[in-house]
Amino acid sequence: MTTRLGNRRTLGLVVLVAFLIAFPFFASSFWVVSIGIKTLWLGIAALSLIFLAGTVGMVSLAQTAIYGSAGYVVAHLTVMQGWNGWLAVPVALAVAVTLAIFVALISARSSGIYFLMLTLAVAVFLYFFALQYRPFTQGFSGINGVHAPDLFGLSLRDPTTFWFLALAVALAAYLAVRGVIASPFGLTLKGVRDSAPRMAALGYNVTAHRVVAFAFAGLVAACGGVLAVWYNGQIAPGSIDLTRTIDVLVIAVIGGLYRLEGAWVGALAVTLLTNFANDYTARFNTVIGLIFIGILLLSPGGIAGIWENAAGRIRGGRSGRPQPPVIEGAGR
Amino acid sequence: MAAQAIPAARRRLWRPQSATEVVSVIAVAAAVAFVLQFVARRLSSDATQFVTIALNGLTLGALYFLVASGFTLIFGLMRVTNMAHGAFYLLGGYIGFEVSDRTGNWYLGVLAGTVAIAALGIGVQQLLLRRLQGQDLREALITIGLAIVIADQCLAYWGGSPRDLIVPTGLSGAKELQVAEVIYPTYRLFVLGLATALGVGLWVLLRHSKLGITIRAGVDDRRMVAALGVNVQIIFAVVFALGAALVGFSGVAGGSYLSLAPGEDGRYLLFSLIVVIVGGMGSVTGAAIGAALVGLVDQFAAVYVPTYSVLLTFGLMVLVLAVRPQGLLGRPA
Repeated sequence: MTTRLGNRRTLGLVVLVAFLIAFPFFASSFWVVSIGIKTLWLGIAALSLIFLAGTVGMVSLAQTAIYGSAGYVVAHLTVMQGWNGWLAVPVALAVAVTLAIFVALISARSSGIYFLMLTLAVAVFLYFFALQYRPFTQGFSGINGVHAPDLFGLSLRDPTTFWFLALAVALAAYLAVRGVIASPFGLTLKGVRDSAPRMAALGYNVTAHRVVAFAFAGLVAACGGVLAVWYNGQIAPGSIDLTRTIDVLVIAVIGGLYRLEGAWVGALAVTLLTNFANDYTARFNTVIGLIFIGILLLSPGGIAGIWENAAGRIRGGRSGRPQPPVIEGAGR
Repeated sequence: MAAQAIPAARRRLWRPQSATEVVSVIAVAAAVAFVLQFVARRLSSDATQFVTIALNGLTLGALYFLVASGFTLIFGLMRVTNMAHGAFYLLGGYIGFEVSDRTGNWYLGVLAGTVAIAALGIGVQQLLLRRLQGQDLREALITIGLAIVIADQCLAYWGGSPRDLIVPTGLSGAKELQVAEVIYPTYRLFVLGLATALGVGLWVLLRHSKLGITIRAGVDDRRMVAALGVNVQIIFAVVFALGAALVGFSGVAGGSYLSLAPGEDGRYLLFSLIVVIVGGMGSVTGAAIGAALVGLVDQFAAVYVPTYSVLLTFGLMVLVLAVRPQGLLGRPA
């Protein structure tokens, strides 16, 4: 990469960070709460999927269920057991990661389409379990009245404070995932994605790598889940049903399944659509579904991919990035 | 392929390869023993209740088989995971409801639901999936998008309240069985018989007809069959239509005793997945065994351990996967 391009990237990054910090001070509370914060935590959930799909080649539909489990633990411990909010967080993360490991142990031996089916089965199961197991989840109505605890004496009910917390978590998650991908472990994961038999022949334990990657993604998703339950103030089976599961997938696909930043691009697109498409049509899901199909048919790189293709063509160079390997080759 | 000598070790009944295998076989044996003593105990204490629950499980399994057989048929030949399968079920049921409601004829409703979904299946296969052939993950994702759209359109047109089809008089009411003085709804027995007949029909079709032989050859080696001069595209379209027709039909059949409502699509997609994962993907016989198992576990658990019934079905899947990752009758990938 040339220095000029590097400089331009740094400049863009500075502008973006400045914008994100200034955002809650000039935007109305609708934009901060309904668009901004929601985009941040949805993006974290989608980030965990993009990491799995892009780096390890595991397209998981269980991410919603895992982040929902973290949300449920927080809600159960704080509302039904009266725990301190901050004490509940590590427990919630631990439970979610344990669940992720369990799911991975069941499904990590399979790949591609089989993995997709197994994780979908897990996701729908957890939904029915949340519906059925009333002593813990309070059944259909869910657990209401979850309040975010105070942070250094500041109330998280204040949109600005919550915005910065969500921003910090999102940034931390992003950097952590980038760090993992850049590490030798991340390189091994890419090897597993491209050719599991070859990695196995080289002496790597493929299943163990998949399980660890899945557990890490579970931790990322769980962070999003804790933010989500504080944001919504409640959690119910409806928060982890098939529609929500697919939402996260839609976000990841719209954002482009192979770029980490795409998580928030997709989340922003979906959040904007949810808020504004309602003004024009009640059939919001149909719109989302059609966009989803369209992107899959036309540009596997998502919105970011479309932009890059266009930019690449204008610059006259090669047209954008190579196609993502995730959707093309997996499962064969 | 040249005949190969079977290694001597293969002839032995069971040669454990690892500690995991020993543990899982013991787990299965324990599960079987538990089930047997459970059955014996319940049969002696309350036979009527036991037989009723068993029938509930079998008739539910019959419906699951109808739904899942289409799913496994399509998957087996084309490696297309039709995630819109549940949505197809719901739409087929609604169309059947609409037609039988307007004409007053249940059989017309069945016909309409079946034909409409078969046509939809061909349309989807030709317009959306054909151009992505071989990219199975992308195909699965597209059918997920399709499922969202169909479910949303159903909600727009038929609303959120449950709909039921009215069964013709010959099939409604209840029958007294000769076993343990059980009185059981006629319609459910009818579904059980129908699923059995369709299962046998499907088996005969796949085993003995020319089409079936071509389909099975296609399952084994798609490219070879194409190279032999068979027009695989036509076979694909036929199989997709057949699979879709089966699920459209089960939508109407199922909607006649279990209500049609938004959200049911997810339920039937889930059970199709479980049934084919348990039974082995691509195997119709496996789907039958898987469906019966899942139906029975579901119903017995719902009565005896209601809070954990979902976990038990899940446990069944995990158990099968632990012992045979490819499913009961599936072949190793």
